[in-house]
Amino acid sequence: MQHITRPLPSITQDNEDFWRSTREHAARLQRCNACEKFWYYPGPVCHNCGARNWTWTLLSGVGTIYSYSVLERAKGNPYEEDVPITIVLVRLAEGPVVMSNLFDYEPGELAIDAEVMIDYEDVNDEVTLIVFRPARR
Amino acid sequence: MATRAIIAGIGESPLGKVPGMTALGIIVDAALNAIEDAGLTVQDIDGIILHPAFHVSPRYHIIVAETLGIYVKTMADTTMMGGASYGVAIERAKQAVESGLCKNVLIVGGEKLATGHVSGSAMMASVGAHNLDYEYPFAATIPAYYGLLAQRYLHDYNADESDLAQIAVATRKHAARNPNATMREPISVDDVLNSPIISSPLHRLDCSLVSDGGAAYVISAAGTSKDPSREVEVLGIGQAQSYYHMGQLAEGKGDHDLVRTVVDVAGKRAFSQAGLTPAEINMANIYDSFTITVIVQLEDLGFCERGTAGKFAAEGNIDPGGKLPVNTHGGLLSNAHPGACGGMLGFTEAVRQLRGEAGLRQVAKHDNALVSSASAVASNFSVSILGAPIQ
Repeated sequence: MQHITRPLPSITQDNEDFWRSTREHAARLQRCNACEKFWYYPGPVCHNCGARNWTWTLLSGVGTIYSYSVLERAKGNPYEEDVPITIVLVRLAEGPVVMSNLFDYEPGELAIDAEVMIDYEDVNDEVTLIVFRPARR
Repeated sequence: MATRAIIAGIGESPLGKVPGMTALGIIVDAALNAIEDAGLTVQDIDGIILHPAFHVSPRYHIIVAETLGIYVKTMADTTMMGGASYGVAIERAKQAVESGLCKNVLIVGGEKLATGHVSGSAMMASVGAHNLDYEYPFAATIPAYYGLLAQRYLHDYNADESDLAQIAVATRKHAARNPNATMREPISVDDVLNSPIISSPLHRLDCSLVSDGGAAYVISAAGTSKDPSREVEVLGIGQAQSYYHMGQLAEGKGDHDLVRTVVDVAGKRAFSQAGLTPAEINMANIYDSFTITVIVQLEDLGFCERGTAGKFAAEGNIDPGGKLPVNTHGGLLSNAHPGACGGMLGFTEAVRQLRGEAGLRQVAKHDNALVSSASAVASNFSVSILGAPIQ
């Protein structure tokens, strides 16, 4: 996998269960017990209806590209030397849209509505990020 | 008769690369120029609005007032909304003047993005305006955010990069007529498309400049400035904010999503108050952090149909002498972009145009001007419609 010098997220009480699930390579998101919708990013209340009860639910791992951008210049940022970096917004099958990176794709696979699947990048002992690859049948 | 707030004075500091002045020096220079333009003294100012942006203290607005010798204020605010701050600030100042809270409100901003920071850190600093936990780890920079917006726009409307480029080309035509603009050489669509990709589909010439500079305006009650025949009217003003994380913007709600922004909400309020329609607007200074920022606003404000802003520009409508000249000073793309306060230059330019003081680039018909400001990947907006002085 392409190396990217990544700025690291802060792990808090609101998101520690999420980051534990990605470390286990079995990403879960909160699904509201009231409206049954998923939301992203993790937080103390349902973004859709305000309910404060949820169930951490395993993701199917599939989604489609909502948009993408290939970053070619990033002067002054920690990943300055790692460009080009492909940034994607992925609409998960469960509904939420997440920002991530796409790896190991062929020309033509970087396209809006293209199907992708979750992969995991273990950045260090604490942080594993959700990243994506093309979904090939 | 009810008090009516007007723009009494405007000021700018030197713009572009200003190595000889500190940020504080730039801010104070712009402030004093605006106070002088209004025919007031520092002692007349009883309200201040400044967005601390990249400055060291969350109380930077107080530090600026202290530097100017304004001891007692009855309003001191920060409108922390990035690029949209200085449009929202006019709305806040107008309410303060019309309610009797203040007599003269100073709105001022200034940054040293070109010569004041370690190279590249302007972009880094901006990252704090976006999410550090779920976005920045994936190498999102400001141009990448707007690249994601632009790519989705191109997909939804079957448009291409040349549609974006048209905005940069038209803006440069205006800048060529502004002797103070940083970039004045004419450019073509091919020049834009041949400039390096920063974050696809955005090329370098789709991106705004990084500059030093500051600007200021004074909001007062009608009839109280040095020369009421130069007082610019605020005919209508509105604001609207949506979300913060890019994915949340994309999920959208109701009629709005990433490429169908809430600037229409701000615009409708401004148009309604002004009693004007988009077709009746003489000129528009549209916040142009990137070419795509202008594209979505032209459409969402109703100046052209969705998906047609590139064509609208290609047909010359936003050029000098066009149906709707856009960014007559050269905008953030070609004039100067000193960070969050860059949008103030759209206001100072509109005031010059409405007063008939814009020199070589004076628009022929200048009864009104729309000015927008935007920030945070087209999620925060303020829209003002200003009117020429009542003679």
